[in-house]
Amino acid sequence: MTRIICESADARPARWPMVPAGVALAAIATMTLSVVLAGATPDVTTLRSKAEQAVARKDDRTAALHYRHLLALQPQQPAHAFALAEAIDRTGRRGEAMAVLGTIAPISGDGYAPAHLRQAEWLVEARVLRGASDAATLTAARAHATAAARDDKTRSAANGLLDILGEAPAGSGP
Amino acid sequence: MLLAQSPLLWAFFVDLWSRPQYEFFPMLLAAVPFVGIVCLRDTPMNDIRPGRIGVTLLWFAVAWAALAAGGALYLRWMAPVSTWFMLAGCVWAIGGARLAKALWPVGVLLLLILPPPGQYDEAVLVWLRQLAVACAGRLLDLIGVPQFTHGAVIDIPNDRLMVEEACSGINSMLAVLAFTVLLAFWKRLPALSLLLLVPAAALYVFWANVLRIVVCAAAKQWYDLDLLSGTTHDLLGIALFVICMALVFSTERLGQRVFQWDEVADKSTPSAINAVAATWQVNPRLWVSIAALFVLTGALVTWRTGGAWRASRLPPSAAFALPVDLAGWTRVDEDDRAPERAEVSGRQSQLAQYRRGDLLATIGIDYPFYGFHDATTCYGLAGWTIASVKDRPPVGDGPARFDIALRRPPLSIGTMHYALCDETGRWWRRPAAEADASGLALKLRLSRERAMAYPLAQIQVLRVGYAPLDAAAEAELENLFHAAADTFASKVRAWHAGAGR
Repeated sequence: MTRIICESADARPARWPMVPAGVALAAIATMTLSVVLAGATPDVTTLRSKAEQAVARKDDRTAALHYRHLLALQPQQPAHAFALAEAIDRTGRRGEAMAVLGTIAPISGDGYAPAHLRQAEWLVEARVLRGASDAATLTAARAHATAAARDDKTRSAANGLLDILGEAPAGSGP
Repeated sequence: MLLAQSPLLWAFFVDLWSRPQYEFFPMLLAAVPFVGIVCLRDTPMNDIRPGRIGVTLLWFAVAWAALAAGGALYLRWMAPVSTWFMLAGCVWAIGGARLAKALWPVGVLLLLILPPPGQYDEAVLVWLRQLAVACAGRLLDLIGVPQFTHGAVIDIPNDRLMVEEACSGINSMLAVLAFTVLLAFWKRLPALSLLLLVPAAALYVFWANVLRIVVCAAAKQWYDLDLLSGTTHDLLGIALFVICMALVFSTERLGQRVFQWDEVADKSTPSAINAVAATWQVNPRLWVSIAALFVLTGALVTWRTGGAWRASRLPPSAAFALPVDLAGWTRVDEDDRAPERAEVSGRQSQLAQYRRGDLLATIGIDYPFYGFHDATTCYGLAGWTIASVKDRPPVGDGPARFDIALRRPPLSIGTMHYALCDETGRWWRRPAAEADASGLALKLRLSRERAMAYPLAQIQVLRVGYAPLDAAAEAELENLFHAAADTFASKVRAWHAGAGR
């Protein structure tokens, strides 16, 4: 009888080898639940808030990333592209920022007025500060300023730029 | 009989070895005989009887047909199919259904190295990789790492992580699953144990890779540590495999505890090994006839497929550096203003950036590819949407060019040209009749053409921006492509004529 009891005690498998599997399965269940609860796509409001917080703490790379994400979720919102371009510009890549603005405010037509104004400002800045005196820069600056002057919100600033460029401001004609 | 299979079987193994997800197969093959011995040793059996001769002949007939079809149609994967049926025929001939039942785990293990037709395994791995990226993105959000995932790419503020490479651990999925099945058979666990062990193993591999992506991204963002390349990347891959296997062992113990499954082993009656040894009977005339038929067929297959499936001869050291000036473009150092990079997927790859005015383009060369390489698959994996693909017919001896229009949210617009040339420097051409291949004779000819072709190298030119190219810029890009393609092909021809000979 004693022998049988000892044998059954010896035969009982050790518990520790099964601990890693138990822990791993519990961790997997937790992570799966977290991912499912987080949802398939991030919340736009949260993303915008994160972007604005990044801008406030001058973390422009993070801000650009969030605006890029926002733009992917809401491609019809020019404000996201505009904010993205500004964030990119603050990281020192004005050429890329201009290209982004060009997608919402092309030189050839009507677009998002603040983007036209910002492009005109940057082109004037290039002309005044860096001496970019080529005809293409001047033409582009005039075109963007003229486009910005058509919108009430940006008219005043655009007219100021047209003054600098030696153009008659919009609405000031005879 | 096995000798008759060997040339086609060797070609199959060489192809299998070139697929990262199947690199485990030599170890599995080495383990199969031991599993066979364990199965025979632990299966109680007093006596066995040979299977009915008709069924035996049926097994061998299927094996022979598979071998013949493999040779006729240049299908390497027919060799393991044929070998499997041949071995099944041998088992049936020796011990009939009882021996086959004892050895079924061996049959299952052998099937694990057989990729499904149509490369469905690749499709599953791609899907798993994208799912892993999506899950990693959510977890990065939770731990406070800003991220933007698209396709197999994760953007973080400090970098862009090409998760396709980082997540190569998903390739170990098949290996871990195969070794899980091996463990179950080795330990003679009941078949139902596989219902727990296999899904658990798949979960371990998947989530281990998700965590790997999260750790790599967090390390890059917080500490600027690059864990995605070099030795660290390789060591992480090995560590993941070991951890997953350890967890599978642990799960087996857990399952034993919870479900009380016992190893199948009854030592009270003689094992099947003894029964086989006692009742082994050979009909020499039958076996010699079958063996002769297989050897003859094997010889014909060897003759027909001789020279097929050439290995790549372009060594890693082959240099195809392009000149500094190319069609008015100038080579520039890698420019971090380039918003996207060219996708390269060959074992060897080279990238170079060229500038002309405001235009910046990347030239990518990569090789080898065995058969036509569809570059749109690689770009699709990297989060690009393929807006259009145009198949440009070659002009004279020039390349058959593919023009691809790409889009990637939110703003990126890509224009890509690519072509393929073989290792002799000849441009790849789509066989004229391939599009509407019909009829056995035509299919046979096309399969022969494909099998006999040299490995291919791909050259591509990619330009990415935020606005579509105008006609003049399109023409500049095409000029760059043709100049690069001509230079590359002439360098390959020179290499083939010189060092490669």
